[in-house]
Amino acid sequence: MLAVALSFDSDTQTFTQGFLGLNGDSSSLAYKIGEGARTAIDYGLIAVDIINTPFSPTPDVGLIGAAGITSRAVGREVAGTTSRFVDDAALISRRGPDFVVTPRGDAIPIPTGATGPYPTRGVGFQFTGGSGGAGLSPRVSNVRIMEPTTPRGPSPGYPSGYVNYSNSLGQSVNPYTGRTIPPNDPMWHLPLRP
Amino acid sequence: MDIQDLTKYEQILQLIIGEQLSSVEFVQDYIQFKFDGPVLTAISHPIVKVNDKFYSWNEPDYRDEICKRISIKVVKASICPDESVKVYFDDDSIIEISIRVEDYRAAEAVKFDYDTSKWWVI
Repeated sequence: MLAVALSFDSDTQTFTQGFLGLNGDSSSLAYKIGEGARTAIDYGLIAVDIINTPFSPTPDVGLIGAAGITSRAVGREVAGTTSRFVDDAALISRRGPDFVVTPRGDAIPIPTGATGPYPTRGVGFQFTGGSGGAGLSPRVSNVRIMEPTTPRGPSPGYPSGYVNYSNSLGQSVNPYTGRTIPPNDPMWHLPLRP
Repeated sequence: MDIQDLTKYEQILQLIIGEQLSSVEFVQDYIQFKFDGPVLTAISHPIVKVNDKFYSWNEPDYRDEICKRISIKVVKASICPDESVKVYFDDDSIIEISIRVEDYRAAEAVKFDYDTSKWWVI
């Protein structure tokens, strides 16, 4: 899975982006700023075309629109296209982006003020410690972006991965209401587009 | 799940050894076990073994037996691939969370949060 993290600095009117590459091993995150991207800012809307990025096996196009984005830069250039993320501390101290966009155009809102992406073991990455924003309930603190899973029990499997939102206690919630939900609620696993 | 991953997960799970089960939270239809910091979320329904008796979800005394483990220290924690995550307590009781594919209730069976933003999920 390849995803793009977006951020816009309203002070300097500059746009930054980071590429999060997950190739079956999410401990190897590729992360890069700016290269191969065009930006357009119009009426508070940010649109991004991602063209021939060095991380993408095929030219993918991601498009996102967002207003009122205030995040600061999130990225730091890492040499090489599949660099192992050796500087976790640099990531951890970093404020997260406003959205993460997948190559298929799924825009994943990141709770306002959340930090990350945090490296993890094998199955995904997350942003934590935020609150609401971008249509999310203020009770939403964290978001996990997970790698594909196979069918398990009643779970249909998520061939392109899924997204999970949780509150400050790590309990899965409906991202719009902030209310806790059971695992069979469709809002627990928000599938990413194949 | 990769065996190497599970080995790492098991190593991380050792963080709760020596810690007490500080609280239990029943959330919707799953459970969070808290160990004064680390949180083990059992999305698959755990069973509790006390004095050679097993208590399963919705059985009489199940919740009582879970909650009776509060304040008891963990002496061992293990992950058996394709079987279960087990937490052994100082009173010889065990909480076992199945990770068998047929027992999954969703895409995840167990999640362990062990630092502000560190976690694993099976």
